[in-house]
Amino acid sequence: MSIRGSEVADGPPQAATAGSASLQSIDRYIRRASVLIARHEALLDRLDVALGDGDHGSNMGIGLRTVIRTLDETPPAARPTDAGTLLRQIGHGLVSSVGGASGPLYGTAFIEAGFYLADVARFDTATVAEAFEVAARALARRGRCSVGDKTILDALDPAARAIREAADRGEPLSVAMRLATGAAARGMRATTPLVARRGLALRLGERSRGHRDPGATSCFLLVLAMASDGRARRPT
Amino acid sequence: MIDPSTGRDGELAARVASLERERRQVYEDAQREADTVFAQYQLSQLLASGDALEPLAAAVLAEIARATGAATSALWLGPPTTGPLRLVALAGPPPPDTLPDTFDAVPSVAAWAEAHGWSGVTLEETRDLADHVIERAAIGFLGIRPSEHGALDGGHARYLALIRRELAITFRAAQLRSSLARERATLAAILEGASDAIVAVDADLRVVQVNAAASRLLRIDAAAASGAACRDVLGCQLPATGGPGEERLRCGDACPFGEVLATGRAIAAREQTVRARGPATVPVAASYAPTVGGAVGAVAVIRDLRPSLALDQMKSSFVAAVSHELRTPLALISGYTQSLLHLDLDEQTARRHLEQIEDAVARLTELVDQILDTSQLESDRLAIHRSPMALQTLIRSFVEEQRALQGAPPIALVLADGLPSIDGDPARIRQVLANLVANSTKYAGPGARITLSARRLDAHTVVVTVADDGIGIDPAERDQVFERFYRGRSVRESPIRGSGLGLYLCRRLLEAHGGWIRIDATVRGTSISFGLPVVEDPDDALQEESRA
Repeated sequence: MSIRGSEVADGPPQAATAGSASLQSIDRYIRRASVLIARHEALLDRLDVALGDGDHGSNMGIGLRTVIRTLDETPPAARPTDAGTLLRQIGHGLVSSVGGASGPLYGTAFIEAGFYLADVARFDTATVAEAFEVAARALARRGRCSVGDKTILDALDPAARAIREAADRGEPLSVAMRLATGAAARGMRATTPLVARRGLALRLGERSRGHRDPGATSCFLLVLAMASDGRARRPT
Repeated sequence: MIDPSTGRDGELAARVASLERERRQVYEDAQREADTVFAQYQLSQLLASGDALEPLAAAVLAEIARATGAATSALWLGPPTTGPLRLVALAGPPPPDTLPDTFDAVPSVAAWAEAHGWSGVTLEETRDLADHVIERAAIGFLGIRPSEHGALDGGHARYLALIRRELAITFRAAQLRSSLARERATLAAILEGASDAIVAVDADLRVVQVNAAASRLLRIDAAAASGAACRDVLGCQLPATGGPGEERLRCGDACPFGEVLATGRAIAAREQTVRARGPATVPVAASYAPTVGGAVGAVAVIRDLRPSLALDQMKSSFVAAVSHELRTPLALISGYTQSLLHLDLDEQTARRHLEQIEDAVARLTELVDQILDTSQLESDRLAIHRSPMALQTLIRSFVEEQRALQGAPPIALVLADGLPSIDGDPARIRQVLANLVANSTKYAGPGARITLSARRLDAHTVVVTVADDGIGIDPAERDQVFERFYRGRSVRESPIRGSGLGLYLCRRLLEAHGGWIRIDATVRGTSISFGLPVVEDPDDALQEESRA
């Protein structure tokens, strides 16, 4: 049983493992994400000055570092043994340590994706596509937002769609993630001319036009962190 | 494997299924709870933004509409004081029913909402009365028209119940913030517009604020004055008693600010001097009062006494001048009367004496008239009887009269063609002309050349000019000569006496006609022009319009 992200989810899936390989890849992923966000904290803060209260980058940076410290400080015996549980633990960490609305929103996305992944045995393109879709639906529900509202979803939704299309074509996960990164980047850039309909920027109305959404930008960075493994390529 | 057909296993299976349902229910409840909490959090963020009432209400209504799935939401709010409720914000498409802009009270809005199929919550504020008694008062109504998908469910109702207290507090605070901002702006305008200098100090006698008049008087800009010691800003002459490094800058017991701070009692109008950033001290009358409410401090209202001292000076010189003006003809009258009474004069000499007496009486009459006119002007009782009149005719008859006078200097008359009618009091216009010509005669001497001209300036104005080749008026005094009791420097230094009222009267009489008077720029002599509004001819106006 998996969460299909209908208006009210079917319920949490039963525990199952997706293998130790996916567990390690998620652990490496969240560390890369933390480094990438840290590198762009100032940019995210700057974007947030125009639309929010100017602390999105700092909030994300502090939150991710806290999440990683918690992971490191967990005794080996208590550490998650499957990818789903790890994703949920990351999600709960984001909810409690990322300030502002983005903590609960990203946290919800990670937790719901974790519930889904706990139920699957294989970690392939189709699985990741489903996990992204589950995450996007959960975030849309919690934030009561749609694509075009100038939010995180404007980058997350196109990324999920790109992975789904790649899965349908039978592409390997690495190709799907590169396509997802491109789609997230386009979605992020497309938020610039939009009028914000959610969050603090809502009160700006027309004045929110012309500013890129900081949430969509951090979401693009989180997708980008997933696409790269952090290693330099050797010329072939 | 569990076989549901067997009794005990079937019981177990049913128990597992029940637990699964319960688990799912718990999960769904947790999701809904998380949604509500997050929605509340997002609303709180908007409420904490500190925006003005209207944009805040618009954003909050949009957020609430999103949370509840409302088609339209509207907010009616009463003022902080008593008064009707006003529609403050509306979100979503306009509803089919016309929304009333105002309601007399919250129950009326609630009744209207119910009658039109709206839901909503009453916004209440709590007031802390004495003895821990809390009073709740309805201040507004948040109306929600549900979308076509149906009425609000229990979750939405709970959400609204959770947020309504916060909404009431925030909207009321926004209202109070804006009324506070308005009051502050009004107070700032009053403070800045005051003609008296206002200086506020804190408990340590450092300047907190000065107004524009204080900046001008003390020759210091507001930013530089702020935080400075008051003795430096006011240029206090009192010796300081506080040693170096001492916080309080007491200037001894004579410091009025110190006195107010120590006693908490105001000081009314104390005459003293302040030293502006310049060598001279300025005489002032200052009132001091402790700051009411807020931080400890005191405020001084300082009136520059120089203008009133100057006026006193002018009045004294007026009295001296008038006394002289009165005494001279009186002495003449007395002298000639004595001669007539006691000397046996021939008829021709007696007649000359009588003519001299008549002349002196005329001078006295004119002076008394001027004084009378001035006092009537001061009490706004000067009578002006306006009617349409031909200025040309008036000027011609005036000049003929002047020419008939013995010993009067010749007047050259230059009248432009087609002078329009003016709406004026002929006696008062004649008085102005007589005054100007008399001035020219007086100050330009017997050989003076006086020119009286009149022309049309534009569609609305006629200008009359009286020019002479006499001693002239200092350009620096151009405006002052029209003030009462003011006598120009050149005439003050001459033996010619005057009351300093003539030009003042001219200005006031012309202003009463909607006109003006000014000193023209001249190479030599004096040229004074005055303008009067013409009687608007409807035909002229029509022609002008068609030309435009």
